[in-house]
Amino acid sequence: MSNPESLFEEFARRYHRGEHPDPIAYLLRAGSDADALTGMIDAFLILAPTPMPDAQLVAALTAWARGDAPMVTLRHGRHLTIDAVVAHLRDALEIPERLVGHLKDLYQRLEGGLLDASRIDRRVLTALAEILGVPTTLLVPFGGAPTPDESMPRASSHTPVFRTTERRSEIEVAFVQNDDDPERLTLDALFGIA
Amino acid sequence: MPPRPGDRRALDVLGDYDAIYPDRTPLPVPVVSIAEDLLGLRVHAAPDLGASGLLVPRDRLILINADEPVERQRFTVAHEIGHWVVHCGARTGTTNATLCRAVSQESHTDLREREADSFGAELLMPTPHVYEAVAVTGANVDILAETFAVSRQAMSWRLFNLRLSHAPESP
Repeated sequence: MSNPESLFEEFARRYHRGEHPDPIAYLLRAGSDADALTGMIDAFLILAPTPMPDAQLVAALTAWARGDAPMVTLRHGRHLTIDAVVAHLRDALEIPERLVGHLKDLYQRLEGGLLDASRIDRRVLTALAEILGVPTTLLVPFGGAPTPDESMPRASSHTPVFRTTERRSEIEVAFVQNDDDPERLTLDALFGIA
Repeated sequence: MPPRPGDRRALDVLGDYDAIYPDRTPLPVPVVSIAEDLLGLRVHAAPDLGASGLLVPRDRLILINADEPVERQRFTVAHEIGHWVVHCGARTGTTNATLCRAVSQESHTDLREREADSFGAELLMPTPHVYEAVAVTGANVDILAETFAVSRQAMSWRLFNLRLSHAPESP
């Protein structure tokens, strides 16, 4: 248990660096001194200057509002290809080479808002935050993105124009692979897939 | 007869790609990288697909027919990118579960399928690059098809649509 003064100093230092420290996390760390720390943080936040919005945050929010995937925008901001991000994840998470293809697919699904970012293992978020140059706290809300169906106005009646030959469930059958591989299951768990 | 205008949006996509990845080799156009790295789509090859390709917008997924030649697969990816950009953007709207590129060209009578084809042709064979290449090598379909990594058929139609050659013969 840390004392409230040192916790407050850490909180204020991070705030001044432009980060978004979570007060609740600090109060939990303070334990029985949470009330004292609450007073310090309250007083500090009342007087502290409002930080300028982070440029990457603005870009990511703009992307989200457009209906794009914010994590794609964050990656573009660093001029990174998906393979570069996946190589970083492979090294950071010590993923065997034979599972790199699966890792890539999991990352792409996360980036595209197809996985629940709140269930992603902290090691994945830390590695992603490192290569994308953003705090991990920024990644969780941006793991999701409105899919086209969610973000666009729905037509009340719409005549199907494209020939639909496959149902989604049938398409997914094509990706059913060796599910009893323990290392693959461990990798899935890192991305919140039980 | 004037050249048929290409889809300007394909050139915009190429411009966006170049702004983020300025070191790319101009040709052939890295169509899978555009789908994955620029647009955040997934591209998977699947056998026995029953179509040349599918776009599943909800899953940000392009499926291509693994049994077809690489050049045709590239055009299919470009075609599906066309659907994504032109028909699935946040400002357009579609409730289609899948968008499909049929194996047979004869079924491409649907306006949106033709739009996707037009987009794909411009993406893979950008008008400025085609004019430049023809100025250097002439309208040699074989050389141009290899340069742009497309099928002879696709290049023949592209040259015709740009009024750089006669109408291609039916296969």
